[in-house]
Amino acid sequence: MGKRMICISCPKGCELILEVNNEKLTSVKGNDCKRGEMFARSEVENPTRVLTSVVTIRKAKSKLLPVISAEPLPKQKIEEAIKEMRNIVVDAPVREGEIIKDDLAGTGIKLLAARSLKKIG
Amino acid sequence: MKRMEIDVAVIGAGPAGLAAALEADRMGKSVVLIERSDDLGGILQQCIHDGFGLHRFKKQLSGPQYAQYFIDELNKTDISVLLNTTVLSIEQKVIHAVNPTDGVLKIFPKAIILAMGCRERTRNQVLIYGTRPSGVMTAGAAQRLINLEGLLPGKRAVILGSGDVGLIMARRMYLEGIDVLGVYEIMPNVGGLARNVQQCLIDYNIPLHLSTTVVEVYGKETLEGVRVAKVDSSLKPIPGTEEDIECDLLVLSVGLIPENELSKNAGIQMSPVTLGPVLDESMMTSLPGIFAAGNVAIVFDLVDYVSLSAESAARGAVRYIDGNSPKEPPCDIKTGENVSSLIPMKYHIDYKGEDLYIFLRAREEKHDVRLCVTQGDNMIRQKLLPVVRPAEMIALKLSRDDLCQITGNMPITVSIINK
Ligand SMILES: Cc1cc2nc3c(=O)[nH]c(=O)nc-3n(C[C@H](O)[C@H](O)[C@H](O)COP(=O)(O)OP(=O)(O)OC[C@H]3O[C@@H](n4cnc5c(N)ncnc54)[C@H](O)[C@@H]3O)c2cc1C
Ligand code: SF4
Repeated sequence: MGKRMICISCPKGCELILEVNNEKLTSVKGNDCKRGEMFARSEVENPTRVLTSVVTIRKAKSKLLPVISAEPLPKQKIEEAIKEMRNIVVDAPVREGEIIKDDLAGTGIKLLAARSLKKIG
Repeated sequence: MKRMEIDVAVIGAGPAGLAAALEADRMGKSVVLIERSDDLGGILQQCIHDGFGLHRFKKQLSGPQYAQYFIDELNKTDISVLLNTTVLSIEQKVIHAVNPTDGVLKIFPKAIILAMGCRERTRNQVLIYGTRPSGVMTAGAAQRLINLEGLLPGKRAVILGSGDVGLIMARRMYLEGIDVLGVYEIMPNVGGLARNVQQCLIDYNIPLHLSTTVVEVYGKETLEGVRVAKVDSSLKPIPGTEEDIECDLLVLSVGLIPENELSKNAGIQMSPVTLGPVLDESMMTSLPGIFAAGNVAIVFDLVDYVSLSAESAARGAVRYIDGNSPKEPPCDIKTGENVSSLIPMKYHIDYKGEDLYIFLRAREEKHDVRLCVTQGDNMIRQKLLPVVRPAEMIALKLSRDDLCQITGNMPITVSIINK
C-alpha cells in the first residue's frame, strides 16, 4: 500500500503517493515536478527541515533574536537543537547572517542570526 | 504643532510600507515612512519561520530576514522614518499623527500610501458560548508572546481554525514544550496551505479534526477547558458528538481582515468583497492621490506579492504627483466563475504604467483549469493552471501587449473555467 505525503518543496503542495521497500523509495506518483521525487526520497531516506527559533539577546531593544539553521537539519535532531538554543545568550550588536553557533546538535550545521540588532544603552 | 510637507507619505512600515517607500525614493520623490511601533518590518518580525521570499529572492527566508533586506536598503536612503508614530486620521489628504517627541504632527503630502496591514478575527467574530476566561487569544497574539516576549501563554493548547498562522503556531508551541492537543476546523477542508499541514502538524503528530468546532469554553478566571463537537454540512453542531478537552490555552486562527478604520474614516470607498478599498490598476483608492498596498488592500498569503503590490502603488503615486494619472473613465474588473475576490477592481485604458498584476482567489478547489481575462467576447489573456485553491492567491501578470487589447469601458471579467 502506498504511503501518502504532501510535498513541501514549493507552495503548490502536491499530494505524493510513495512505494517504500526496506526504507528505500521504489516509486512516487502525484508529483508535478522532479523536486517532488527528490523530496520523497529524502523524506524516506533522510528527512530534513530548516529550523527557526529565537535565542536570548542582551543590550538590544528586543529580548529575543530570531535565528535560522544555515541548512536543513535531519528531522530527528530538531528537538535536540531546540534544547541547545535555550541556553544561548548573545550580546548586541548582531548582523543578519552572523554565525550564532557553529555546530547544531552535532550535525556540523551552523545557526545564523535572522535579523540585525543594534547595541543600546 | 509640528508641520511637514512631503511628496509621499507611507503609513505603516511592514513589508508593504518598506517596499513602497523605497520605490518612491528610487523615483526621486521625498518620502516619509510613519510607523506606530518601535520597529520596522511589521508583522514579519514575529513570523520567525521560513518560507518567505521564494519568488523574489529564490530563497526560503524567515520573516525577519526578508524584512532585513528592505531595512538595509532603507538605511542607504534619505527617507524620513517616524517610529512610535500613530496616524489618527486623514482629512482632505492631511495626515494627523501623534508621537511622544513631537506630540501632534500634521503632514501635508502630495500622495499617501496606506500600508497598515491586516488584523486577526477575534472571538467576537466567531460564535463560542461560555465564560470569558483568560487563556483565549488569537494566533498572532500567541506568536507575539512566544517569539518577541519569550513568554509561554499556556501548557495545554487547543487551536481553533486551520489558517496558516494557526498551523505555524501549532508547530512553534510544540517545539517550545507546550502540549498541542489538536487543531479543530469547522469546515470540511483545511484553511491553510497543504505544505503547512505536513510540516507543522503531521511532522509532530498533532491531530487535525475537520468539520469540528469549539462550541463552549469554560473556566472562571482562567481557561479550564473547551467543548468541541462535530458539525453537519450546514456547520451546525451535531448533538451527541460533544467532547470535553481540558486545556489552559485556546488559540484562534480564524482569519485575517484588512485594517481599514483609517481608510473608512477618511471617506474611502470600500469593497464588501475584499474588505479593503476599491482600487484601480495603480492601487489608487476612490480618493485621488490616496493609494493602498499590501494586506490593507486584500489579504495576501505570500509576502512577495505584498512587496509587488506596494511597488506598483508607489509608481502610481509618482505618476499621480507628476500629473500622469489616467483621465479616461475606468472600466470595472469583475469576478467571474469560481473567482471569489480580486484586485484591482478598475482599469483605465490610458494607464501609463508597465505590466499589471491581477491578484485573485478561487472560490473552490479545482484541477486542470483555465484562468481567463475577457472583455465581452474578446479573450485578453488566458493561462492553464494545474490546480487552484482558495487558500492560495493567484497572481496573473498582464503585459503591455495584453493591456493594449482592452478597449472602451466595457467591464472586464476574470474567471476560472474547466480546461
Ligand atoms: C499574525 C499574522 C501572522 C502572519 N503570518 C504570515 C506568514 O507566516 N507568512 C506570510 O507570508 N504572511 C503572513 N501573514 C500575512 C502578513 O501580514 C503579510 O505577509 C505581510 O506581513 C503583510 O505586510 P503589510 O506590510 O501589508 O502589513 P504588516 O506587516 O501588518 O505591517 C503593517 C504596519 O502598519 C503599522 N500600522 C498600522 N496602523 C497604523 C497607524 N494607524 N499608524 C502607523 N502605523 C500603523 C503596523 O504597526 C505595522 O507595522 C501574517 C499576518 C498576521 C496578522
Ligand atoms: S512536486 Fe514539484 S510542483 Fe509539486 S509541490 Fe513538490 S516541488 Fe511543488
